[in-house]
Amino acid sequence: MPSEKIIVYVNDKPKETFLGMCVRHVIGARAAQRVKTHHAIVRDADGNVVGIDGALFDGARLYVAPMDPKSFADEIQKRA
Amino acid sequence: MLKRMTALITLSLLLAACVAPTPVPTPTPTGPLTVTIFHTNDMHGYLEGQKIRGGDGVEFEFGGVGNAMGTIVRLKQEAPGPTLLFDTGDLWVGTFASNRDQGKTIFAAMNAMKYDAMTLGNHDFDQGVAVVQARAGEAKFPILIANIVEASSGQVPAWAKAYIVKEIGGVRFGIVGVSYTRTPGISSKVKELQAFKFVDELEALKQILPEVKSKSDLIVVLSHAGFDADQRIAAALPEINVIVGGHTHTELRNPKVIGSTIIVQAGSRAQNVGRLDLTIDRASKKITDYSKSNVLFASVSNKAQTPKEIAEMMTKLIADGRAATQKVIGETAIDLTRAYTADGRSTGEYPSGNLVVDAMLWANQAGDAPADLAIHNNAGIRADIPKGSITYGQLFEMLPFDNVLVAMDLKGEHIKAVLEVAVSCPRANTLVAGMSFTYNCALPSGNRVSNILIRGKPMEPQKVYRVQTIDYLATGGDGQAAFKEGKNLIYGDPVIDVVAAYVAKTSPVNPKVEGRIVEVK
Repeated sequence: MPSEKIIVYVNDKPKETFLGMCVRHVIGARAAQRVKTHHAIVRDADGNVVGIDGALFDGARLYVAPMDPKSFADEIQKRA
Repeated sequence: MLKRMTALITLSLLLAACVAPTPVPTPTPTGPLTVTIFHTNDMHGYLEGQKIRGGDGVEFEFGGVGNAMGTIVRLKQEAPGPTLLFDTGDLWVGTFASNRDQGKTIFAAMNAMKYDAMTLGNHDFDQGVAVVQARAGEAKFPILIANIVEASSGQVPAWAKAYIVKEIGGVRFGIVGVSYTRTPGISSKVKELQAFKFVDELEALKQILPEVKSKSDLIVVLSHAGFDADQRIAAALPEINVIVGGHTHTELRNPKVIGSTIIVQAGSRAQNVGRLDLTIDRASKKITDYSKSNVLFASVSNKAQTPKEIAEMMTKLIADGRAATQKVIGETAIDLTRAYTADGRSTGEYPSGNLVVDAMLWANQAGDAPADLAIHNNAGIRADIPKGSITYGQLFEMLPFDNVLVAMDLKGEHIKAVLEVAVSCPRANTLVAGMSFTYNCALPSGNRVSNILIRGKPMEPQKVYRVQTIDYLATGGDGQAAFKEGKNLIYGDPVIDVVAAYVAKTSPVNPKVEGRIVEVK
């Protein structure tokens, strides 16, 4: 039975967790809720948006930043 | 006379034309061929989109399978040439309505959309191999898993393929699928998956690509390995032209290019559809150009052109799911309450909480060794259920978080550390089954817990116990760092499903408050 531990970085702070956990587990429940309501957004090291149920991998770097829900709505309409 | 001769000549020409029509040469296509790849991934059974209100006040749905399919329909009309349509897995597990449908409706929608191929994600095995096999039997498109072989034969299972070759405009596309190699280590179906060998994605591709390359002009990999792994694969295997990814839920709004390999991925929850245009030289059969930016299109209801057949499928499935949440699954002989005291404190033991941890201890996930104890956080129980019938909808109000069961080995000293954090006075933020303890808020933090009994025996600090908990705590939620000392993790089913199964099995439930957690002065 494997139980591989991985280190991911959230806003450059290391967080130890287990392989199989996802983004919402390491950003914290409050931040995850803010992401769900589009008051915050999570990006990877390259600046790509990642979902809160996205799989983690060792060394992953995540950045949580605030976001305006209205501008989010406009952005996705432009991208449709 | 002249008129007559002219008429005769005309008639003879017409007759000659009828008897032996002049062949019209088929024009040989000239100029480059443009093939558009459309792709989805990690839809996770999100049948409905999220309701969003724009700055203009107009409300629309963002995401959802129906809207994604409607977005594909719209984008296909704009495609300059032939198209391919792929999905890269984690398709149907993730929402109540889709879980209970076991993917049947989503596969029917994909058949209607004429998907060309898909690969499997780790969550596609959550409901067991038999479900995957059944869906594969219904799919009118191949399931590609080059890196999953039967342990007994070493072959890709009969219901799947390693790769296919599709010819489009004289160009042969070799399409290979790879799933997540570490699936058995993070799946609740660990025992079942022992019948298969999950080969490392890169190694499997190294083995199969020479064969694929000998039969094709361009190579497309459908991958559920994750964005990090896809980049490693691209760096190691430059003969791959395109990797369509998944697993990390990454929104690659612009393709990532490693060497000459193009990597794309479309986020999750059917919120985006990927569109990659490839310009191909017909003579050399090489890619000469591709979409370099803005390759993700948001699936929004006000622009989607969802086919009526698919819209009806989704509406029915959503309605069925809603109806099912109102179905009675069992009864409770008592009020399932959270017995907070008047000053807002709780001993951490109350009827609804004990029901949850009793169910967790009862669940013997994946044939795992029986657990000694179960621990859930107090704050995760959010509603009471009155005496009488219990519906799934009521359980959802009680357990609104998407927690799944996690079994792990944990030493007694670490269990004590967990309890010490949990009883950060004045609240006791824990629920336990299979064990009991006392705590004293007059004592300093870290020394408040005593009299820990596990299965009726005093806890031994160095002894290893099997603990059932939830993913939120296992990864250190609520400040529970000691759970990170856990070993031999096995992920289980969603806690709500475990509790629902327990209620159905043991109804009428009658959880007792029996002094598992006692505050002493």
